[in-house]
Amino acid sequence: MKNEKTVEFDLSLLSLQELVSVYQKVEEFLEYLESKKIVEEEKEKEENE
Amino acid sequence: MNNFLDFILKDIDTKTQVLSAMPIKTKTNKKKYNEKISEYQKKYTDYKSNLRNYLLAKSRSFEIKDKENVDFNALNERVTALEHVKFLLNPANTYLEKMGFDVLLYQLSNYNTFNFNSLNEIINGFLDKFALAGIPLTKEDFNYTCYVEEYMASFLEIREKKIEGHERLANVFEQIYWVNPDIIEHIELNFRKLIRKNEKKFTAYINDLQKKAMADNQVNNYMDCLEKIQNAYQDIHNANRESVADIIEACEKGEMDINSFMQDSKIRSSAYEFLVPETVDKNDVAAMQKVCIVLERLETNVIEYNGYMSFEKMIQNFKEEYKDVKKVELKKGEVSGLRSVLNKIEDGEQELEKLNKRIAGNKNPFFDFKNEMDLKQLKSKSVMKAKELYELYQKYDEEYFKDKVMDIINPTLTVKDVLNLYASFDYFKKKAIQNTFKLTNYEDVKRYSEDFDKFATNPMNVIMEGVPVFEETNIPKVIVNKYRLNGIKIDEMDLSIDNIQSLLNRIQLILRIHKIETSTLSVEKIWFMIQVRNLLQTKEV
Repeated sequence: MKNEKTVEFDLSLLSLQELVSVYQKVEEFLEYLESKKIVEEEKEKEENE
Repeated sequence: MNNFLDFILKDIDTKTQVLSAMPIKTKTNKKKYNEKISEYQKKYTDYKSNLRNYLLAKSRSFEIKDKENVDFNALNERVTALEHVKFLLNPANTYLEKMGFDVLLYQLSNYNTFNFNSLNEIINGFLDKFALAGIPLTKEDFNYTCYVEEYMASFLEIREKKIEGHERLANVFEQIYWVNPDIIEHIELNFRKLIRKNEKKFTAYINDLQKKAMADNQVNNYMDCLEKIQNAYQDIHNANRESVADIIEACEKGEMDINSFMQDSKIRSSAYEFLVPETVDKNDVAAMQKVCIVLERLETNVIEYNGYMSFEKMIQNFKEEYKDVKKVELKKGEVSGLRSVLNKIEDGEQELEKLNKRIAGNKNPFFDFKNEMDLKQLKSKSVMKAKELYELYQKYDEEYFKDKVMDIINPTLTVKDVLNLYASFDYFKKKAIQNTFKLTNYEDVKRYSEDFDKFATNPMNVIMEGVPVFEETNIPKVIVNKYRLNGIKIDEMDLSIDNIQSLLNRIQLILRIHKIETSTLSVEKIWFMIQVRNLLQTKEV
């Protein structure tokens, strides 16, 4: 696969339904990432308790 | 890979696997794990931002201009002005209805039933109408009974001096009420007498109004007025025709669901299956155009029939009440039922006048003194006479309307004729509404009455003109048979009260889809616009 930073996509090739779908996927993934973040202090507290 | 969606799906999958494979036991592990997440977040936030801009630009490129600049105010003013001319020229009714006295009489005669806010407002309404016609009423005009005289003397004094006298009037009313609870009926009787007495003046006033209204609106006669109203309504109908912009707005507001417009929607396919003849290719725009012209007519008929169903019971009651009424040719020397009651009223009012004079004489200190008992008896007699007269006026009302019915009655009388009759006589229309729907609240009567007028005077109605009142007509069958000829397979049950809205929804769905597909947009583009709006929360970003 090419380096992501250099990859450019032509969004006009996507159908309208695909455009909506891709936006939803990106949003969902961002939410997933946020939920996966490890908050150190809280974890430690939990461990001490 | 050149499809961004495929790339994203695969990329998300890869990145999820990478994250799940990363150790997170130690502090360093966790740090690295979080750094990876931040790296992905940065990348995907960029994607999101670029996508957002693209979606917005794309969606905006689909936006269409709203309706053409139509001067709705001017169109509505034209209809209102013509409706007023029609009201004044209506050949079915008299000065009584044209002056709007029937509206006030209905309020006054139902004052106790409906508990109106203010009796005084109704009285002021009468006085204003007399004043408009150049008949300023004074306290001398209110002598139907001594009780009316007493109340109206205070009322007119307060009205003339334009002073705040609500409390004083309330006290006067209460004092009279406990002696004579029929005071409101007496006020009504007094106004009824005054209205009759001034018939010539009111007729002349209406004639002047008619001439002026006709000249102002370039109307030659009643038929000309009806024609002009029909055209004016057609103009409004055309201007109000739902546009694609209206459909988009309704979808944005959630009033319509764009998903039901989509190719794969079951609602859509069932509507097409139900209403579009099998032989028609649904993708053939020209063929669908023909189907939609028929469906538009069906929609108008269904709306009209739906309106009729709301008032069908009223028409049935009319039928029951007047089925045996026949036009009577009077022989020489015979008087009509109406004239006969009127003669009795006039005689009764003369007797009451005499009684009133004796009561007034008794009150006069310079007159020969008669004892208190005499006065009490005279007053009691006058109340009884007024009661008789009130009953006679009720009989008069019945005969008055029966007379109007007789003017139009014939075996082929149509529903349209009855609708016109009731629309011309507000008093009797409201009474019929009140009785038919068993209403106990004036606001409900008013609302039904307004709905009735809207339906009865709609110049777009066509079915009602052909439905005879005194014959059994199966209107759904007539409609169904008409559209079967066009290959539309509706049946009578589709026009039942439970199914009619569903039928309308299906017709309108097909018409809307056709409208969209023959515009510069498509259902998918509108779906996209709505999705973008929902995804990005707001249109203006």
